[in-house]
Amino acid sequence: MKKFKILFIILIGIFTSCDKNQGPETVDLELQFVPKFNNAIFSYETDSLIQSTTQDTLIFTRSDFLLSNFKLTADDGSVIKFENTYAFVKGASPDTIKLPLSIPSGNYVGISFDLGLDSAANHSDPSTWLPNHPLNPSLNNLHWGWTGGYVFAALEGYYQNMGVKTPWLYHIALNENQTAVNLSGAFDLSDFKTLEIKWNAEMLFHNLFSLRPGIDGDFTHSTNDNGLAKKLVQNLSTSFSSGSLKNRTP
Amino acid sequence: MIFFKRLISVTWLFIAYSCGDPGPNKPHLTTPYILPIPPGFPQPALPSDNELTEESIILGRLLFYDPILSLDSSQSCSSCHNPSFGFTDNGNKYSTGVDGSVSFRNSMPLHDLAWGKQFAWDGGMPSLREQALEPIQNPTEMKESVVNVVEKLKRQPLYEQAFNAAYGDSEINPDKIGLALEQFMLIILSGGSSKFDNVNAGIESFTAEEQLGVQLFNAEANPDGSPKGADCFHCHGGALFTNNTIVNNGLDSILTDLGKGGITNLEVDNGKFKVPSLRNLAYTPPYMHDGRFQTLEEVLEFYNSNVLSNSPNLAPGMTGFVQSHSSGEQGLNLSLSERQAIVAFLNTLTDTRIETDTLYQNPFK
Ligand code: HEC
Ligand code: HEC
Repeated sequence: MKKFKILFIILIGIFTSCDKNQGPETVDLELQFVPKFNNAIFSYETDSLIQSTTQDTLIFTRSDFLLSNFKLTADDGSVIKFENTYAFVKGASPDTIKLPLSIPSGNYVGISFDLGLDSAANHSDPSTWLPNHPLNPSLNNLHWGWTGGYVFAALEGYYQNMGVKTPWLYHIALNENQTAVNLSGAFDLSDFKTLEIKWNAEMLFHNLFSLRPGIDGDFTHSTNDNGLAKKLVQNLSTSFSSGSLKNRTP
Repeated sequence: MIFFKRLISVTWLFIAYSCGDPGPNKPHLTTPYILPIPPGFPQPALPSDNELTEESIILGRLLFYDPILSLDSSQSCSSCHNPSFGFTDNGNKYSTGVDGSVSFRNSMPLHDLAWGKQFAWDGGMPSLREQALEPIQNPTEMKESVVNVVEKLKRQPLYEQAFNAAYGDSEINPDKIGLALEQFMLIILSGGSSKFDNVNAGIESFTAEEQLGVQLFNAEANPDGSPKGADCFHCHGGALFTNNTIVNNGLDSILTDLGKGGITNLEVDNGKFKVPSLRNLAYTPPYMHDGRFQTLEEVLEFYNSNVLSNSPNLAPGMTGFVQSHSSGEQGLNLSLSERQAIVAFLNTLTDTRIETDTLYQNPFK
C-alpha cells in the first residue's frame, strides 16, 4: 500500500511537470523601430512639424541609421552580446530587427546598441556583403566612399527659413562618432516578444544641445563643421526610448 | 494458347503504357549565367523569378536589336540605345519615334541596371520587365501593340528556336518578351576596366589633375575653406556612382517637367529625377533628363554656381551647393582648374567594354 502511495506521488509529479507550461528556455527578440515627433507618428516628406522648444518648423525626409553591438543586461547583471548583429533602420519604412534565438528566457533590465559601426565593420570591403545584408551599400545607401566607411546616421529634411522651404542635411560618420545608446527598463523576456524602440525625432534638435538649422548650421558631413556633428551625436545618443513589449507568435 | 498469352501480355503492356505517367517531358536544359560583378561593386539583388541563363540573354539580345518590335519595323530598342553611345541615342538631345514624334526626355544609358531600383528619369517604372514593354507600345516611340509583336514573332522560325531554348517551349507571350529583355539589360555592365577601376586595382595611376578631381568629388562643400569640396558623392558615391534615388538637384525654379511628381501627383515629388550613374559619361552627352548640357564643363559650371535654392523640393543633399560664401555669392566656389580636375576624373570612368564586349553587341550584324 505504501508502495502504491509512492508510485502515486511519483506519477502525479510526472504529470504535473508535464502539464506545467514552462515556456521556452531560450527566446529571440524582435525590435520594432518607431520614429515619433513629440510622441506622435509622423509622415516623412509631408508633415510640417514644430519643434516645441526652438519653434522651428521641420520636415523629415530621411532618418536612416546603422546599428551594431546589441546587448541585453539581465536582472542578475549578466550581459548577453550579439556579435555580428547589424541593423539598417530606414526611418520612413523601418523593418524589424531580430535578435537571434539565443536569449535565456528571463527578466532583463537593459538593452543597448551602438549608433554606428566599429572600425573593422566600418572599413570592411563593402562589396562582400550579400544583397540583403544591412551593410550592403546598395541596400542601405549609406556607404560614403572608398576611404570614409559608412554613414552611421543620415538625417535629412527641410526647415522654414524666413518663410522659404530650405533643406538641411546631417550625415554622421567617422569612427569617433560611434556612440552607445542605453535603454533601461523591466523587460520580461520569458516568451517571444516584440519590443518597440521609439526614436524621438524632435530630440535631434533639442536635447543636450539646442540646435537650429538656420543658426547652428543646416549641413554637416561630420567634418569642417565647427563641432556640429558632435553635438548632433550627443543629442542622438539619448533620443531613443523603449516602448511597449508585446507577445508574438514566433 | 501461346497466342493468347502473348495477346494478354501485349494488352497489358499497352494498358500499362497508356495508363501510366506520360513520362516526364524531355528535360529543358539551360546554361546558368553568372554575372561577372566588377571588383568593388556591391552584391546586386537580382530578381529571383528571372534567373539569368545564357539562352534567355541571347533571346533578349535578339529582341533588343530587332526592329520587328516596332510598328513599321523601322526602329529597335538600339535605335535610341546604341552601344557605341553607351546605349544612349547617338548624341541626340531628344529621340524621334517611328512616326516622327519627338520625346520630351533624353534617352538613358543602359548599364549597371542590375543595381537599379526604379527606372526611367521619373523613377515611374518599378522593374526592367515593365520598362521593356513600355517603349514598344508608346505612341511616340515604337508605336506597336504587344499582341502584334507576339504575332509577328510567331512567324519567325528564329524566334521559335530562341524561345524554345530559353523557356523549353516555343509559346511566345508578352511576359516572356519582358523577362528576356530584362535579362539582356541586367547583364550590361560598366565597370572593372575603366581607368578608375584600373587605378583601384593598382595597375594604373591617376594624373595629378585626376587625383585632385577625385578628392574634390569626395569632399563635402567647403566654399570658404581649404581644401574645397565638390560634394558629388552624396548622390553619385560608391562604385556605381549613383545611389539610385529620385531627387531634385536644383536645375529649375519653374518646372516644365514635374519628374516623379508627374507619376505620384504629389507636390513634394515635383522636380525629382533619377540620379544617373556617372560611368561612361564620355559616351553619353548631352546630359540631364532633358539633355540641356552638351559638355561636362557645363555640368560643372551648373553645380558650381547655378544650383537654384528656390527649386521646388531641392534635395537636402544639395544644401552644400547653395551656401553663401565670402564673395557674397552662392555655390561651391571652385576655380576653373578645380572644375577641370573633376571633369578629368569623370573621364576616367569611361569603360570601352560597352562597345567592345561582343555579348552586348548587335547579333544581326
Ligand atoms: C524612340 C526612342 C526609344 C526607343 C525606341 C526605346 N527607348 Fe528606352 N528610353 C528612351 C527614353 C527617351 C528614355 C527615358 C524615358 C523617360 O524617362 O521618360 C528611355 C529609358 C529607358 C530605360 C530606363 C533606364 C533607366 O536607367 O532607368 C530602359 C531600361 C529602356 N529605356 C529600355 C528600352 C528597351 C528595352 C527598348 C526596346 C523595347 C527601348 N528602351 C526603346 C528612348 C527609347
Ligand atoms: C543631391 C544629389 C546630387 C548631388 C549632390 C549631385 N548630383 Fe549630379 N545628378 C543628380 C540628379 C538627380 C541628376 C539628374 C537630374 C536631372 O536630369 O533632372 C544628376 C545628373 C548629373 C549628371 C548628368 C548625367 C547624365 O547622364 O545626364 C552629371 C554629369 C552629374 N550629375 C554630375 C555631378 C557632379 C560632378 C556632382 C558634384 C559636383 C554632382 N553631380 C552632385 C543628383 C546629384
